[in-house]
Amino acid sequence: MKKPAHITYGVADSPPILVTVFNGVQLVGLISINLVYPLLVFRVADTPVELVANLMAIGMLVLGVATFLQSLRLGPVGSGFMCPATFTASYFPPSLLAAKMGGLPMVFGMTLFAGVLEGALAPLLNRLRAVFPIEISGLVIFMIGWSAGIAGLRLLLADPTAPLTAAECAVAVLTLVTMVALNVWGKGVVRMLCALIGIACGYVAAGFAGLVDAHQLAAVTAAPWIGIPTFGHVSWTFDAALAAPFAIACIAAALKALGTITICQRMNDADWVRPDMRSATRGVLADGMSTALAGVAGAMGTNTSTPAVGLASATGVGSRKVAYAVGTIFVMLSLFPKLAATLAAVPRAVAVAALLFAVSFVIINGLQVIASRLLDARRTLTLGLAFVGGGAVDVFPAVAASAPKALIPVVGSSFVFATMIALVLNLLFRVGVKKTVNLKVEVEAIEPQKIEDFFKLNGAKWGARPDVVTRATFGVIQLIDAVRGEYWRGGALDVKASFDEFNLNVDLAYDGDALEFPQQRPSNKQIRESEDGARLMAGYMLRKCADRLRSQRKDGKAIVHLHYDH
Amino acid sequence: MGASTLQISEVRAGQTCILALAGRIDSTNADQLTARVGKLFEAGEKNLVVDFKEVLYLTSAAFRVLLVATDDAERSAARFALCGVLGHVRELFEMGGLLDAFTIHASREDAIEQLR
Repeated sequence: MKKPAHITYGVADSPPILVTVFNGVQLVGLISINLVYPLLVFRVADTPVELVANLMAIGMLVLGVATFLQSLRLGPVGSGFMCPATFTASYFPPSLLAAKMGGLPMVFGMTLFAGVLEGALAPLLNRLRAVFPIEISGLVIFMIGWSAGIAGLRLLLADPTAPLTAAECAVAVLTLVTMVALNVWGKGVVRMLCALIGIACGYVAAGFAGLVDAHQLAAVTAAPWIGIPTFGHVSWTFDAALAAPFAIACIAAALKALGTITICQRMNDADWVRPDMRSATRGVLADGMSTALAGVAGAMGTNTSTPAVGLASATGVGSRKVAYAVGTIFVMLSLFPKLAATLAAVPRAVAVAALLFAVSFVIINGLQVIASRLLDARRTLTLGLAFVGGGAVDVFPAVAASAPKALIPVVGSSFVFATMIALVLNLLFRVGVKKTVNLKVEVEAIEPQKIEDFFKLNGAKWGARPDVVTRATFGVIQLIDAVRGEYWRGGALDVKASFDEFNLNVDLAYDGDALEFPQQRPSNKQIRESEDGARLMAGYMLRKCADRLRSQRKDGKAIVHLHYDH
Repeated sequence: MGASTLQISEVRAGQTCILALAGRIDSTNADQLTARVGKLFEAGEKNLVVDFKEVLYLTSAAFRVLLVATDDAERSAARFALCGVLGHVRELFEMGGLLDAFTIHASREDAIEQLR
């Protein structure tokens, strides 16, 4: 890996101790805003404030361990990048559902299920892209933000046992305005920590307005300064009806982890060409294990923190030592019960304002992901109908409430229902998508220009990415160059190219001997000293340029299948 | 391949000789490049730069030529470097794990400066 010029400390570098600690503190500040997700879930489950305090401490401990798990490389686990963990909006809507249906044991049990599922999906991620294309990932991100925002507003505006007061409204507005103002007009550290500063201002204002519950305040006072979180109260239950919402959240988290680790790869490698699926798979496995650990310990699902990686890119400090600092700080914070109790006692007006601030970015991130794709009629209908379906769930909740009980987790959540509609329509619209074209290359008339034009023209017709088309063109030209002469006995070489939006498959068939495709590069000496060495290099290059390669003999012909992910 | 075209032009900058390549390099024209490089070393050339800026693509045959040239340069106590290895061509070097096998400069000017 070649370190890009704007990165001062790359992943393997060791920054001075002060730089490491300061960056660690900054990142902890940035990540802490997401503590609002578990806090609101615990509130929905009517958890006593003392228990919420203990759970918040457990949450910080889980974040610390998860950050270490991601940045260390322990066998097949961990990307090895500076990629801290955070609580995520992805698990917020299903965790709220679980909290309502079965309390905290259901939240923890289903979180454990989601973590195990994410770990199992890690090696299959690349193949999931056809089921979960980019625009549906965008829709899921949007709906996560949307449904989290609606859920937050329901907590504030539609709780029949505690109607919204004018004082609460004022505190919520003050909190949100502080965050927005600092984010829009603030600079440097103030801008970066705008959410935490907003929460602090809102907390103080709520105190003056008498909105901090006396019982909660007593819990803060009673909490010791130093102590270890306890796990005795944690229990787990499972419900098959919640499998779908948690599975969707888990796939969303896995795709986000994949995206964040790809950002880390690009940030650390000036020669970056395409995602390295090995470190990405290790990273997604670590992400799944962290969520499973969260379920076991008594916390909400975690995910890689994209804003933290973005901040590392902006500051040029991407060393994994900073991740160790973040992990250590979170573990240390979990040992201060008074801090956890203070977090647990945040008034709902302040917590909901912080939630609305955070989900604004989630919603826009989802829209940006959708906008990155060229939206044809199929995608437009898939997304449009999914949005309408999801919106209808929130506008007409009575319809979903009358559905059979087993279906309520699917039809009763705008996030789940919209995703389900999109997944079904996406699969339906894939019928008839595959296009196939053929080219015959005669041994006595090989024209590279013709092969280039063939791929360029059809690639443009299909809307295929130019970099993938270029790799496929190289594959064909390299194979022909290697087999012409000794290996290709004569007659036409058939090129069959099939494209279906997620896959470009190129099959080459010729009368002759099969080329060898070694996994290891031949040595420079081998390449220099013989034609065979050069031919082995050709086979090696073909294996490297395709995402998958298969060679076989059929009807006396040598056949090479080159697969390119799209 | 039948119709692959490779243009090789020679430019001098002080003590450095630059071979500017344009077009495609594959097994049909690799010998042409090998012969040209070999001739220069035989003639006593001590600083040789091959400029890939105008190369459209190359196959593994080109790598063989370059590795042989590196060997020839060592034997002749000459300096051999590449420049203009950009975009798709750079990806092919990376794919072949050969970025470290050669001295590669960002531009022709850089190469001339370094070999001066």
